[in-house]
Amino acid sequence: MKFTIQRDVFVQNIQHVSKAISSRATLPILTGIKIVAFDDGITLTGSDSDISIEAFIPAEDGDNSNVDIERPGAVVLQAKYFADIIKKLPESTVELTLNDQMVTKIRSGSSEFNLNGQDPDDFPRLPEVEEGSQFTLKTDLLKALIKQTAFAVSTAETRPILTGIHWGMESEKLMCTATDSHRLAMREAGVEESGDVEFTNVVIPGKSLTELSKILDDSEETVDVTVTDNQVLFKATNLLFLSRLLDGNYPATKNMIPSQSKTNIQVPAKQLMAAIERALLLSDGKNNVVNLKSLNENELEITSVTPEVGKVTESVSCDAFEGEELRISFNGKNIIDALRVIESQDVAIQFTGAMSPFIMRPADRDYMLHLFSPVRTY
Amino acid sequence: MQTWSELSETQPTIARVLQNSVRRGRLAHAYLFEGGRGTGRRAAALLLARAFLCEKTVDAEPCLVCRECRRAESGNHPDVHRIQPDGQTIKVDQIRALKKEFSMRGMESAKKVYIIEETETMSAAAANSLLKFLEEPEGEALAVLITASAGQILPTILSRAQVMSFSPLPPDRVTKALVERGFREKEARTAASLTSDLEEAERMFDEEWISQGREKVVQLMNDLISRPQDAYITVHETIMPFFTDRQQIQTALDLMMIWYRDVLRMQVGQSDAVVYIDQEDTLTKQAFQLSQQKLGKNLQAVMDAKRRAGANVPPQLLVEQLLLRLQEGS
Amino acid sequence: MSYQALYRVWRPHTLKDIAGQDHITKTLKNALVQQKLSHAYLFTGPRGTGKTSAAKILAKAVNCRHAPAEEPCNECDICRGISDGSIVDVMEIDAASNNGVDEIRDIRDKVRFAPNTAAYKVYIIDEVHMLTTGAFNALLKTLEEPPPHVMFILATTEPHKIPLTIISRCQRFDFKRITSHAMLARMQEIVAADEIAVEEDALSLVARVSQGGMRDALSLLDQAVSFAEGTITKEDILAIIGSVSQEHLYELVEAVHSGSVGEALKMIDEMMQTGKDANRLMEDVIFLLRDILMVKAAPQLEESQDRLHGDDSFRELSEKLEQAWLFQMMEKLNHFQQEMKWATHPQLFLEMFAVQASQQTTALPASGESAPQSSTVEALEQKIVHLERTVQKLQREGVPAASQPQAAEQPVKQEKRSRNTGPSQKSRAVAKQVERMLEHATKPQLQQVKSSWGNVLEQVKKQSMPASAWLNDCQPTAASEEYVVLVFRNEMHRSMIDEKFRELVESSASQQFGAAVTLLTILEADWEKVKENFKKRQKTSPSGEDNEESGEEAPPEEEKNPLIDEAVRLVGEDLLEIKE
Repeated sequence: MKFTIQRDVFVQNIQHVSKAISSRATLPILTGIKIVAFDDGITLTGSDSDISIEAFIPAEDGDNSNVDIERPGAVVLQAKYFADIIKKLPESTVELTLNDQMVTKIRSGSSEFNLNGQDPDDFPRLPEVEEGSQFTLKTDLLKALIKQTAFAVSTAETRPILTGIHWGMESEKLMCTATDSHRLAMREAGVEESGDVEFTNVVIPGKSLTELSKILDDSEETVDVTVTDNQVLFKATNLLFLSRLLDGNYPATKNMIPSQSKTNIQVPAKQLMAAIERALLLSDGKNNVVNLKSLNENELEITSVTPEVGKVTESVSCDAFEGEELRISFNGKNIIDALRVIESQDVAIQFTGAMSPFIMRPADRDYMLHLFSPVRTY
Repeated sequence: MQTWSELSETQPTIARVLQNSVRRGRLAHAYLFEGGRGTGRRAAALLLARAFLCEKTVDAEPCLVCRECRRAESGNHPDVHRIQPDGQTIKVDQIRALKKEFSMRGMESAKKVYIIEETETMSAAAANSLLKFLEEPEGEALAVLITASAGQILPTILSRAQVMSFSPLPPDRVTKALVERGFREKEARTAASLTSDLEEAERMFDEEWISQGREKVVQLMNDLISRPQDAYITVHETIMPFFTDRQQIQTALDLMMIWYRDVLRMQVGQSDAVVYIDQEDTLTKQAFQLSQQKLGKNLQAVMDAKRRAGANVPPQLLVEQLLLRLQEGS
Repeated sequence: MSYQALYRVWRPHTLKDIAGQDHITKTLKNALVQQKLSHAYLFTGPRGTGKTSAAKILAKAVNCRHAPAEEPCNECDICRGISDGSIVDVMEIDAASNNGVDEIRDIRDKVRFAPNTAAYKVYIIDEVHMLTTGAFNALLKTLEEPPPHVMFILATTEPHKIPLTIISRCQRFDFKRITSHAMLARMQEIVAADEIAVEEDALSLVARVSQGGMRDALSLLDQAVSFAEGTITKEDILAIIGSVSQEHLYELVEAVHSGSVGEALKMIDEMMQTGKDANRLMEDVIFLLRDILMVKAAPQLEESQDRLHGDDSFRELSEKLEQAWLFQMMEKLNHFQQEMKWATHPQLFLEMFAVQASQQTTALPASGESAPQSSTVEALEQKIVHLERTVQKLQREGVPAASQPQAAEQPVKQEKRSRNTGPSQKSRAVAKQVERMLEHATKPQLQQVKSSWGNVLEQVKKQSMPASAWLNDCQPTAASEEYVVLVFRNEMHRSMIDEKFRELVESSASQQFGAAVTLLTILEADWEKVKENFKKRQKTSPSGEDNEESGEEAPPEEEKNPLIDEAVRLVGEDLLEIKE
């Protein structure tokens, strides 16, 4: 392998893939960056086995020539040393040469480094874009999907599958669900031109999606998504982000959503959130229970009691009220989390008695739903 | 040892069960390999992992050259996980990390393997936290737990795995293998009586250690019989300078135990079972002179000396005391 | 993978499928039907007895769409959802990984949330003994005031580690080791359904070896299916668990019991050479003796009946071995087992055990450790033996040995003593005696003499140092029921023993062998001559003539000729010259 590359482009891409490299990798080879040189460009890969990032540096990019590839080949170099070396090299170009013993010579100006490399065949083989079902999402939509669900995943290890967000595709509709078994967040999005792509039980670790959101550049308009048996791939122009999927059976959340309701109300979101926030001021952090009572058709009373500290009473006006009287208690923090991601002015809440889960939706849109389990008060 | 047919030379039953299981698609998800050193447990675990992962198996034999097979061996297979004690014990955090790893689908395929070595060093917390996971792992998982002794493993773990006991190599086989490699029979027999681990036995021939050690012990035993008053001198001048560390003292004591065992064999007319084959005359003589009782006492004395050596009693002292006991009543 | 181990596939999904815990399943069924359920259950018992299975079944039963009923239907969406883990309201928590106060407090907080889909939130906490004290205390609070929609099912194999405060707030069920009987029944069900061909006694062995744990039994059965070609036999099971066959074990124990050290050692050798593990063998012996003790001490137990069933050799053996002996053996075995654990070559310990154990039975009080009176008893015994012998001798020879010819009274043995008392004539007489006794000498007897000779030496030494010194010079070379031939190299030694110390040596020897013996002392040179003569005589004797018959029939393979075999058996190969 031999090529000469523009140093700044190289550094930038090395940084991209380094985000996926962890020094505490269990597999020794994963402390390295895989470098593959082909006629059309250089591919860098970094991975911590949960997520992997592949960056592609095309040989020619419009008018620019980034890389001059003399001989194709591949090697894995220790990320720790490699990244620092390239950053500190003197000239604007870097030449890399690989010899038979896997030693890589790095030259720039008068600086020369010889680094011992590892066999690229030892590096895990990542799934390719062609291997699975593909569809395209707008970048901002993808980020919204993630933001509006990732907060609701479970943080406990007791049921690992709940630490992920469930993605399902049916009839050109993508549905994302996250739950920790006491509250649930669901977000839907229409995906045109997804063709025949259908899948279910694709559970992506919340952590991975959050990382993805950080890495995605807003300058990218769309992202191509590919779902394979074991991983999900997100492709932007020259960046490929992969995450392993969680194993197991995701709970059937459809069953959790009540189909009928006994009480429907509509309230302004900001007001509700402010009231609950205030109601939680007295809580000790662990016990975030808030009580809701319907006073009349226009007013809701929100109270919270913390023994030996005090009591708070709030009032919120409803825009609409329909159905039975209501007395219910719930974890206020969960509601606030949901309200934060709802972008509408008003929210519609449907209750089915004090002991059943209730739903909160943006009043004007149908694409999002939040479900909460009430708390028993005695 | 890379194939089932190789394994069946030393562990025929186990090779058969495992190979058949792979062939007939009846591979269980958890195995416990128990056995002493040198019985081939680790090699068998690797072989099983490869047979499980290899895409080109022929009659359940792994091909050994594909990426799966190669990386399984080199430790770079992303879906093969090895757990070894962190210091003295396997800690609960290691198991937690393993479980977290397994909560995800395999990196390259649906199959995952984990091998736990020195399973008996798991802390109670680690062992208990493995139970549910061991019993009902997500997806296609294969677990191989390796241990020296099943008696030291939690019964709850034992019952969730298929336990396979690796037999030690019989002494005759070790002797034969050593003789085939060109070592002298009298020394091969001695080495084979000290260990059933072929590699360890071979190491004893490094720098002629075993042949020298053997000679010295023979000299001591002869002195004990014919020139008892010289025995102490022999200890000082010959034994102690040669058998220097604790491990070697244990070996010296072992050699003495084997001597008395040989005397016993002579007494019951099983002269072909002796290890010191060039000392038959002396052995025969002793066989007549010592009552079986006394012989039993001598063996016990050496055993006691071994235990004391393990308890850090100064070696010279305990060898001398041993001599006293051996000479008692003769 | 699509294939699942037997114990996973056959995990019971209804209370009635749980083997061997009828006392529990009945109570639970009643409680379910009558809806008299507790909010907290504690299931205790050894591994593989059904605790977790029962917990899962109970969780389904209380939430099933068809409740109240004594069993879950396993068909409705709730039952299915709980089975495949998709219903979040039933949570299986492993206490070992979540044993801290924080995890339990988290449960406590979440406990207040109403169940999502099911009627009850059920928390199944397995290995609950792993909780820290703080965690236990936190759990206690919830158990004290459980919300009505919540049920806790705690399970553990170590109930002694659970604080009493917790136990008192739970309804406790003790799962027992499954009896061989119940296990067999369940296994038969499974092998029939899965069409596994297996012999009856193979299944019994599996049940016995699994010691009351169903999962262990099924794991073993799984291995057997992979191992066996065709029907699973008892030998298959034995091969898998690495045990020596029961028959071999019985033989070994018998050999030890009857004091045949040589036999015992040979058997141990054989077993080790076939790759058996010494520790395993020790365990097998211990289990065998334990079983025998059990059937002797408590024959009416179901387990005892199971064990005796169909195993005649076992029955015979258990009748033969005395309880006292068994107890002694167990003690010894335990001692050796401990030592063996850390030994680099456990086989030696096995052998030592065999030696010591066999000595226990043959050793007369004289040669043993123990009783203070032993020396008096010893002395008395010696005197008795001595007298016995003298009487016998008188009966035979009429007059004390010194010089006279005598008329043979007994038809069996006639010894002529030469009239002359000169040494050469005497030695010729002895030579003749030796020749004659050779006809009755047998190899086993010689073997026995040789192996106990050391004891004889010791005995003699105790009483006379010089005697033992002379005696050290000789070797026993032939033995019959009444005689032992001692070959000396030195005439002085020989005559000392022959004359001065005869009584002493003979009585010591007699004591050792448990029968009166007479010594025949002879010099090495003379012995060689006697051997020659004996061989010559053998050739012209009747047994020699028959050789021609066998010569016609079979190829001259010495091993195959029964007559030669017999001759070898009698006098040993050294004395025979076999000519074609």
